[in-house]
Amino acid sequence: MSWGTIGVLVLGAVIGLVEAPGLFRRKKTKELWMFLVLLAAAIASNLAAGLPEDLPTPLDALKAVFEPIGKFVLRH
Amino acid sequence: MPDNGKIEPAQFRKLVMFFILGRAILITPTFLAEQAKQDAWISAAAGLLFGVLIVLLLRKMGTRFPESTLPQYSQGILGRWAGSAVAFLFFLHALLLCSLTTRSLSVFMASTMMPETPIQWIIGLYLFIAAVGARKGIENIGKTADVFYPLVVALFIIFVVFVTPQIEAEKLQPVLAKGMAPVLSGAYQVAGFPYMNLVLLLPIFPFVSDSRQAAKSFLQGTLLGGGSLCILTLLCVAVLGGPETANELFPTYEMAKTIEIGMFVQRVEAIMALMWFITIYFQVVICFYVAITILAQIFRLTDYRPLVFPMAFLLTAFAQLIAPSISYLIDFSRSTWSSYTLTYGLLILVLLALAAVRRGSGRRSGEASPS
Repeated sequence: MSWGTIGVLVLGAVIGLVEAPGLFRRKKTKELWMFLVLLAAAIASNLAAGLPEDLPTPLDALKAVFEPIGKFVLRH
Repeated sequence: MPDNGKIEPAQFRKLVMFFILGRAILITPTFLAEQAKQDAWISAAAGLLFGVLIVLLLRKMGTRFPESTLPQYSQGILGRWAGSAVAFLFFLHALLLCSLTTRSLSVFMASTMMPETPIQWIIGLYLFIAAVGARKGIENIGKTADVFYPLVVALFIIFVVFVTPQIEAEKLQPVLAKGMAPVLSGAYQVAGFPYMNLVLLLPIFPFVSDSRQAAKSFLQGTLLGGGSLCILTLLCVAVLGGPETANELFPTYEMAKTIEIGMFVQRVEAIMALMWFITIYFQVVICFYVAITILAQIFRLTDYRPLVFPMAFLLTAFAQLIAPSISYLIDFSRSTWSSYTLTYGLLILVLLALAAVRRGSGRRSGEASPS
């Protein structure tokens, strides 16, 4: 495991330990679920960001749709 | 409402101004000069006109529903599911802009001042400040704007005063050498960035204490921010020259480097960088706040605050993943962003407006809004 991976997991655990117990105690189930989903997504994407490969981004899709329009307007 | 805080109209005006300057202060002169060369400043002014039109439209929407938040009224007029879908579009847009802006700032920091700091640390720390700001609520963000406004204005004035001796008027000539077409394509670039991004301030609108005053502040803030952007673009072109501005990644920073006060005061650009550090902070914190409150309201959560830190953590990754390289990001901003945001922003607005008119809801029918 690289330092980056360890850092991401530790940071994720810290955020979880700071917020989750309070939500659990106050029985805010919906908030707790949302919190855990966001946190899991955050840890997963941070681990993905640590990979050496370039991952596809949502900008690729936007580019496919809107770049021709932009090029059309900017061409003269 | 998940946040009971209110901001003053004057604070809203400052937020609007910061929001416009935000990332635009760094890169917009480049995009303008690429299209219009020495006429970039005319493009900036023409773009501002378009910005004013957008704001007039947004004001109409905002004052129609002064008491309820965006997810509330979009659900009110479109129904639970369609309304949530529209609110979700706002959420995605805020998320995207937040990632792009944070990435740009971190690239700017890394390439100009902190070349050895790993970029994820700059991104993470910056988003951490934004998360703390958003967690404290909109009232706090408004007061932060109050605190930093005099500093930004002072830095801006110092900047303009010290750059003025470097102006070479012949760099602005010839005016309109190639006709209006390049000027208009430059205006199209600024219309998409930053002006169409003002759509994201619509969810902030209900938090302003006086909606009539807020409508005025919205326009004043736009004129202030847009005016500053015009001045900066004019200075860039007059100091660096049109083609040089087009070739620089961060032309305002390059311009700050030309400042010399005597022989002994140097590296003024580091102080000037503080100005864009602050304005970009407000752009990030507003996007962040809008994203997180809309998410909380779509899922009918009672409190958005516990979500703040995981969201900042998530955005730290998004800001890195959003583009494989800075050249990709700049290319995207140049060729795609304007057409995307203009289509997207106008579509959302027209949808909401049509639905509101057809249902006849809003203030005119005297409907009491849930709050």
